[in-house]
Amino acid sequence: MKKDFKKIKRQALTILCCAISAFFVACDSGSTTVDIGKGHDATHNPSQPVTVVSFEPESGGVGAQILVSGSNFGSDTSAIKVMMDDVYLNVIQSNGKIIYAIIPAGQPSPSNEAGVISVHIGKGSDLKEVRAPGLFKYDITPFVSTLAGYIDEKGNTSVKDGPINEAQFEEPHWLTFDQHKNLYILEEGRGMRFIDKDRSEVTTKFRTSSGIDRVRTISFTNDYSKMYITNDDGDENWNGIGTIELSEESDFTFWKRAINSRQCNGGDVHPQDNSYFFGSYEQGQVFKWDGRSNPISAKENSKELFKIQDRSWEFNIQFHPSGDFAYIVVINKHYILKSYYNSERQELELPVLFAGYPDQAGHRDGVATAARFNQPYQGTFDKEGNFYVCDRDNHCIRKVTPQGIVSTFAGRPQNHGYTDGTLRDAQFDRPNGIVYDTDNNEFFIADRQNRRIRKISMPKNN
Amino acid sequence: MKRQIYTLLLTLLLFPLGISAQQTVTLTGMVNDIDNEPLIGVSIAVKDQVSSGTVTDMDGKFSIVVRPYSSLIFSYVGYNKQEVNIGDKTTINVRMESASILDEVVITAAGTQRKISSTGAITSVDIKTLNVSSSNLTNALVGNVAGIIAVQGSGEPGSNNSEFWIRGISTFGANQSALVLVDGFERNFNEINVEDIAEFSILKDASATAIYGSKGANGVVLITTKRGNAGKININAKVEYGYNARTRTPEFVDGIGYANMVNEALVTRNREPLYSPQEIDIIRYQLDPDLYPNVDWMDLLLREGASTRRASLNFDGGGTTARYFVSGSYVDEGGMYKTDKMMSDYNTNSNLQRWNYRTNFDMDLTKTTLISVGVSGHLQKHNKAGLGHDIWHSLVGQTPVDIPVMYSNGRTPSSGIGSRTNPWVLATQTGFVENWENIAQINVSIKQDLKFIAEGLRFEGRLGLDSKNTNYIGRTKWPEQYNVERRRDLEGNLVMKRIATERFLEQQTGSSGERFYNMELEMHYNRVFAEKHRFGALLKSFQNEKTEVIEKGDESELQFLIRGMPRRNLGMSGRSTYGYMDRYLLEFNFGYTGSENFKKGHQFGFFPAVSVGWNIAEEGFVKKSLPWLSMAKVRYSYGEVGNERIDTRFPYLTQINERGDYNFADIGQDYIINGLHLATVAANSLTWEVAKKHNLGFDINVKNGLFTATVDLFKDTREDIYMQRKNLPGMVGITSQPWANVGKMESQGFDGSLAFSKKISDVQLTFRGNITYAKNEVIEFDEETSALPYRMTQGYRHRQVKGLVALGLFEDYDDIRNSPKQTFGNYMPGDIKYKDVNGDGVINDLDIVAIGATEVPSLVYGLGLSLVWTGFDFNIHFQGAGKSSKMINGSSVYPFVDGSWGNIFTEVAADGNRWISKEISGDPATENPNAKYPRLSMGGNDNNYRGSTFWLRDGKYIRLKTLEFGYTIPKRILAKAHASGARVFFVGNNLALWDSLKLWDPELDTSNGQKYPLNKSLTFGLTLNF
Repeated sequence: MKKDFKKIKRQALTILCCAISAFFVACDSGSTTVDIGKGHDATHNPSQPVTVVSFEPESGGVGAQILVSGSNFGSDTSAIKVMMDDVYLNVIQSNGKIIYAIIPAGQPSPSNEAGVISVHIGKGSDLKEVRAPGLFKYDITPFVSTLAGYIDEKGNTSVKDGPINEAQFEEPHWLTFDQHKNLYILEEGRGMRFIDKDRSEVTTKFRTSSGIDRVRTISFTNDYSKMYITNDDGDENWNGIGTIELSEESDFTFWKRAINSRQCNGGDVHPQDNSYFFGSYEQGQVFKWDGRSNPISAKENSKELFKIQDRSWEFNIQFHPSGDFAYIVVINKHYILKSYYNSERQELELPVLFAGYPDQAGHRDGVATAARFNQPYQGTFDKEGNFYVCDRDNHCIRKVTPQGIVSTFAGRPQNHGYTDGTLRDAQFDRPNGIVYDTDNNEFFIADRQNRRIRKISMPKNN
Repeated sequence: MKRQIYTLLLTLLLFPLGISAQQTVTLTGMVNDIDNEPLIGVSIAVKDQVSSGTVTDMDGKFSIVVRPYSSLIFSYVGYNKQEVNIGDKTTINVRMESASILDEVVITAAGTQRKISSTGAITSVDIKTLNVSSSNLTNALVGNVAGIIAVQGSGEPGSNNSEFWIRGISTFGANQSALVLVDGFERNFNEINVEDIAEFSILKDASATAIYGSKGANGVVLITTKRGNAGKININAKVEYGYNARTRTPEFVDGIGYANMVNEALVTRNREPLYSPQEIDIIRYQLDPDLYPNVDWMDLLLREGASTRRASLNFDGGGTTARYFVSGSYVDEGGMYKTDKMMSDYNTNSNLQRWNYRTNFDMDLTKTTLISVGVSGHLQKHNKAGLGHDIWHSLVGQTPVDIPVMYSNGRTPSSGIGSRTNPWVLATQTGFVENWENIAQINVSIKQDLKFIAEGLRFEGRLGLDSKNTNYIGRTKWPEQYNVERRRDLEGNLVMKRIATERFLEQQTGSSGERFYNMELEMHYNRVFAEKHRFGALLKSFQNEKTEVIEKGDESELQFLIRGMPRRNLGMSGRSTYGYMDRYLLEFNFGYTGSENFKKGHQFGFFPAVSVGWNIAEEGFVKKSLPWLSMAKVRYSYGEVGNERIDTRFPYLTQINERGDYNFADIGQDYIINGLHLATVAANSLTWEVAKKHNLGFDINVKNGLFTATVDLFKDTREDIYMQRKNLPGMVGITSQPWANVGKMESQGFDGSLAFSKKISDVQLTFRGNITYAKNEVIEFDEETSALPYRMTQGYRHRQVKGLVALGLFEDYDDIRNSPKQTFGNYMPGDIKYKDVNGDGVINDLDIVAIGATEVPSLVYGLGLSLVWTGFDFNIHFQGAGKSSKMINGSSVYPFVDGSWGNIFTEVAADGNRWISKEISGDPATENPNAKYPRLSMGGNDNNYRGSTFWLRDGKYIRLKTLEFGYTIPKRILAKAHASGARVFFVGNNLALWDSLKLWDPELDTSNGQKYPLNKSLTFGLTLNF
């Protein structure tokens, strides 16, 4: 019986072992690797002809994405060239049947409003050139590009001078031209930068220091000999530095106190009368300066003209080149006031609501008070008197006609990013400062959070 | 020394031989039932002899070598045990009588009771009918056990157990869950190895639970584990391999579908489209996967299925003086995620492994003294990806067009950080987290028969010592992650931006422990006087203590201190039963239990319960006229039970904290001085909640089990529910709302089960059904009175779903003009139109009313059929739930509510399911005011995207819970392997689902689908017995 039992045990164990091993051997699959850069692998057959059937869209401007359909393209983008007349397009990818290419920057000659798209495949003697049927209509449209500044891939930047394509910015904030179209750039908390009229080099005029840390706006006297920069260091009394003065003699590198005031967020010089107006955040006062400087405060050397609404009003003042009126852009309450200039008294009048509505942030195109802004900042005028204003927290540039019609000029409202391209496709990130070169039909924009100076090129033949 | 050992070994070896050397005979025989049918597999043990015995073969025959004049014990499930002295015979035929239903027992608090004489509402679960496919026993309860409402909220290994309530949720207080006792001690049963369970019952009414006093109000689950049987050693082995897929995988639109919907959402609200036709073509032909990807994240990350492996092995046997049951089991549940081949050092997939062990050892110390020692426990290891908790959020949220899996330059893409990290990164590149848990439970008990003092008197003492520790090691990291600007620069290059810097592998650890000590002393008295008066009594005293050890986290020093204090209970309880000829039954139960959590003088409570029963079938006239009626019983019980578990420790103590409230400065300025305030106002006479329970039950049994049914009607009034007062005005001047026993809730319903079992020629057919329905209502809730009674909690179900009443979609602007003004945001035709409930002409939050039912179903039912034909068995079981409402929301149901985050369910995108303006579709018919989804909008829509009947879905479902085929291999084949039984089986779980939600499994605990889906599984297994 004992033997029997042993036998049972042995056999039982054998069966168990078999079962258990079968149980554990059953294996898992399910690991996987990710293919990176999984491209298309169509090959071009040199002995076969290349055909081009069509392309889409039929028209477009800088940055337009073009899909060219046909056959035998191969997918080796280094062997594929797509041309529109004599311009090489940027070829991104091909799956052998469709080539995806982008129209590069640099406007081709405007005479060629309708161009020929051609595909060039292969190299050397194997090169095949095929024209696409039909013509591509080239739209000469405004487009947004980048003048200067970059962020490295880690997201870093710095205040770095140098050739235009090497320089960097940190907080570009406000832009102004002098008479030669040299560009002065305020960087809040950093200082004043300078780009020469040939746009070849970036230099630093001065760095901010204690007492002038939050530089806000620049205005030149009408002879461009002096420059006034407002500054708001959050002073709790009237002896903070409200406006500093820089002069041509020092090449605008050395500043001195002009007006002591409290929380000054903007000031502007009247383009004809040369008188200087500035404001205070404290109670929303607008002052006219009598020209006397230190050590007395604005209370003594300036005249309070009016209070625009209430305490804690952050605003700047921007005169129309005609000097007939100034727009008062209220940043933290999201609206624009218009103040007529009384040339008799040489004073700004009590302003009226012009566009947007107090304390109503948002993005809406419309007429006057129906429109909505979100933290509008610097604006600039074109020849027709349209005011292009940086709508900072909507990440776009708004256009306000003299009649008060507000539209979106550039950028994707409420959608920030860094994208060059056509006006409404491009993206900004908290654009803050803008200036317009009426001679060259170019806007420059201090794209603050993108840490870049952007450029909008308008069609030249306008 | 060595020599001594050899001698000893030799002695040991010779010892059994010495026994067999005595004179023996080979006894043969046959075992039949009363109809002379042979009984197969009857176990035969030789009395007082360890490990000797046999079983009958296919013809009911047996052969055993024994000494003459020994006693054989014949036992077989469902038959009365029989002891036969063989005398000097060499053949013996035994006829076994099937056990009478009079002898069927149910397991109740503190021991077993005869089923016929029990008057409480108790569901006895036949453990064989529970088909446990996952590692959790709780998942097998729903639809199988009358009186249980359960919901399985997740399918992820390690958190896939069901939450269950006995007779639904009957309090809105802190603790709604049942008391679970394993072998008499408060222990968790989620992780128990189902093969170890001998008895399983659910105590539902007051009479059955009063003994547990202030812990019994939510019902009690009782489990006893298997013990050894005298006789031949029994070896049971079971191996299973299961393949788990998902009951329902959420399905999302692809990149082209998504891009087209983005455009529609913009255009339909008069905005410019985002994607040009060229861009949609670029997506379609994948011409620029860096900027225009089209990724099926579900497919990328989820496997078709995962495997589950289980094995268990147990032995039992012993002699009449000592018996043992030893078992071990192993479970390995795999997770659904794919893993990165490159990361071969560790596994990032969700995974659970558990090793269970148990030994139960019984020794007859004397003829009347039984000592039992049990050791059991488990070791569980649970693995998941480092940031694994965010995977489903990301997987459901990540759109196909936002980022590729990897950029072509090798950089890792991401839409954001945290739960918006790339799902592939979350699942495979963030390291791994390991949780393990180790539980050891020791119990020692002594049973002393005191018949030398008085017939039927018995003493039992039990001591339990449990310890548990859990450990956590997280090794997390993440790679440097990038995103790109939405266009290439003018040279055609990608513009990358960094989203997250790299984090190197970092380790966090944590651990916590728990100790539980429990002692119980019981005196039992059971006796039948004059064959008519059956009397039983029980007196029990117990005390227990639970201590937790945790690592200090964010809590205050005081809270930390309090958490370290042991929780203690002390109590006395008893029962007395009286039955007259099994016809008239009377039972009284009480618990006098105390907790140290309350103030002295308020620590003890008395919880009485009475019940009566009438066995109609035992009446003489019924026996005569309806002889087929084996049992018919009516029973009623009423009693009070408590629920002492509340969130707060020592609620009678006031807590004073520092708080910075005092500003000694002008308006607009800050000069804050800290002050002291009452953080917790003492609630002196705070106590447990009390459940007053009524139960009326009927049991019927026709023809000895041909048809059985049990129905219970119940009403549970829960009073003194512990809640924070919400109705004290500020002028009372206290800085925190005090707690008090002020809530009241009522729940009522029924549960029942029925079974029909018959053998038709060779086929044994069993049909089973059960149902549980429980509906509750909050009677008193301390809240602000409202002029609109429907805004109050009072008068509605606990966790009642509330929302606006939707009247469909606006047909046109006329419809909008002629309807009350809706105040949530702008709306157009195709947006949701609401009902002005209070008739004030405006639709606002005052129009929010109770809609639908509660999320937890009020109705649960199950239906099953099993067939056994010679060696084959077949079993099918359906389970359903009803009276459940789910509010759906989230970025996959509300398209584009979070902008570019949130992939869209194909159901939303499907033709005809949403309102599309005719300008877009070119077909007026698509402006369907009865569409299932409203006009699309980008970036949220305050009018549409809010709780209303529009988004309310019926949570009812029926699922094919179990489908099982088994084949028992004939004994003659097994004989060669000396196995006594073997069965191969194939089980399918959750194979089919019928519901109205469709988006995800309605049982899943989510309103937005962002949860690990439930599993359906196919399991193949083998059991072997020796």
